[in-house]
Amino acid sequence: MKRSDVRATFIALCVGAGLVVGPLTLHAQEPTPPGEETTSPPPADTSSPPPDVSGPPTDVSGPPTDTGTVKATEEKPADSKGELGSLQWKDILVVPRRPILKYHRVELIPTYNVSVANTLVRTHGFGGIVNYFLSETLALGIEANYLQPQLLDHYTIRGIQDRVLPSINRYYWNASLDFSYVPVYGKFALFNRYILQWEAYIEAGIGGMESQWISRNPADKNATNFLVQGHIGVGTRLFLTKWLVIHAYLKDYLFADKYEPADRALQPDPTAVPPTNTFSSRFVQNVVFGVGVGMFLPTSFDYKYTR
Amino acid sequence: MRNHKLRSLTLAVALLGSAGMASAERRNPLDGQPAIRYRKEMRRLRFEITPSFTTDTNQQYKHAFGVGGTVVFHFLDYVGVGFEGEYLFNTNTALETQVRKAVGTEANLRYPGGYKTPGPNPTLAQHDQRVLGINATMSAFVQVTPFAGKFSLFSAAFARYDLYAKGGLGLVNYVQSSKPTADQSQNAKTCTGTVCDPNIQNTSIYTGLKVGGMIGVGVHLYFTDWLGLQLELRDYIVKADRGGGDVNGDRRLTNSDATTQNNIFFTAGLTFVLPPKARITR
Repeated sequence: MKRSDVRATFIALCVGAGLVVGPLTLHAQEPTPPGEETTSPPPADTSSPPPDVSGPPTDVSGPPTDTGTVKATEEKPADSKGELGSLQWKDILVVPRRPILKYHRVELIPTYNVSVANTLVRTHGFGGIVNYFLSETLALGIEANYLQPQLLDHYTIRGIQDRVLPSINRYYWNASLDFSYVPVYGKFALFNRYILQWEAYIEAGIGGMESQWISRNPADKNATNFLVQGHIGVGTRLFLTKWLVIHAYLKDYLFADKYEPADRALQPDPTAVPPTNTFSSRFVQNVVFGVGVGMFLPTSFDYKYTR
Repeated sequence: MRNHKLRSLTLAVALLGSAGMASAERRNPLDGQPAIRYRKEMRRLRFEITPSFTTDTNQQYKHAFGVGGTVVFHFLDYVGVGFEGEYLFNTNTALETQVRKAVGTEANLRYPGGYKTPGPNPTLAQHDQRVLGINATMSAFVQVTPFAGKFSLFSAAFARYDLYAKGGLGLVNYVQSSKPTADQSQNAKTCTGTVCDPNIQNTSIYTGLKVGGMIGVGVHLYFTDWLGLQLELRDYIVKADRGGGDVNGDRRLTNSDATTQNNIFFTAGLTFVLPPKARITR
């Protein structure tokens, strides 16, 4: 009986010791946290053959290349130990997959924009854009804005100082069919803490708009113009999540607008809208800066792998 | 014997418990680690020297464009101090060209025999000599670079970039385009009633160096460790009367006619970073 007790104690101690040592061993097998290596030079030795899966993991915290990829072999291409038949480790590139997929997704963007190039009237635009992505880089979109004018001080100052009131128009709305292309994408680190994805796009569109005179004399009737407009633009998307983005863009709306004639007071009835052939036509570049919050639908996506 | 078994079991459970605690103390090896290791510090303890071309974006009377330069020293990868300055040339804006035409036409109709005070319409000469241009801008600033990263162009070319903001003391030098030729003899402080005529008062009070603030944002696109393209928007916020005329309608040219002005400039330049080799973080 006594012998049996000793054996039971021994077995219990062995089990206990095994349970204690097991996790500690596992702990020891974990890769050293980056930054805690004592003497790890930047180019980690990754030219050795793949480690035995039962052995301790190798330290793969070597420096990434400029492209964000990690080459299997960077420093010692002549090392024949790394050969896998005709394939060498240096031939293998590890490419991180694209973090966000947009193909066949719809993007809804409520936007606000403001004109930046007109020193007489500032135009605020409230609208939205719907984009459908034909590929990861190409999108087809529809855009519409309601436009609200704000007369700037300079319009009044010109009147006071020079006794001259320039012809100006207000814009009511615009709508366009847009084509956008994404040539640039990237990522950045915010204070080396948070990594965010972004991309830049170029855009062109064609559509229509409505403008109306702001008469020098408010008692005079205003003419309304329906115009064809085109636009070009550049913008950026900053991805907060896989479906939520922040937009910032610059667009240049190009159109030929028709203004109140300078000699309206000489017309037989100055309060009536003068004949259209007296309108003063000018080519206008209405440059706007805009921001928006984009929401991708569906909100998630699946990666597809070739078999 | 039963006691012995119980002791053994207790010991095993205690050991098991301690093992569990050891397991619970395991931590994520990435906790507290930087987002990027072996990151090139493109700015830390380096000088940035940028010769550049500058143009205005919102001048109402005269466009200003010219050349200049920026020098920045970065204490950290995301904080630096520097100064910049530009020398600028002026041309009339499209609006100013239209207004000049209207002013000249109207003055010829009103004053066939020469200007008659109290106006109110100015002659073209009076208008031209009072309108101000900008021939120099300067600033001393602190620059913060919170965003830095890499981008791909057509998935083929890769480059580093950073986005920065700056703010500090801004100086704008306003000049008149020509020496006064029209009569500016009326004293704005002593004139009374309808005799006061801003068209014949001294407009040079609005010229000279105006001190205010400067804020700006920009981007660097680096081709190499030491060479990059800089694109920047700066806004010099100073009190000025760019038209050089009466603004508040009291028919006197005084400093109260000067209002806060945003002078926004766009700059494109080549950035040289010294020393030419960037540090790499651990």
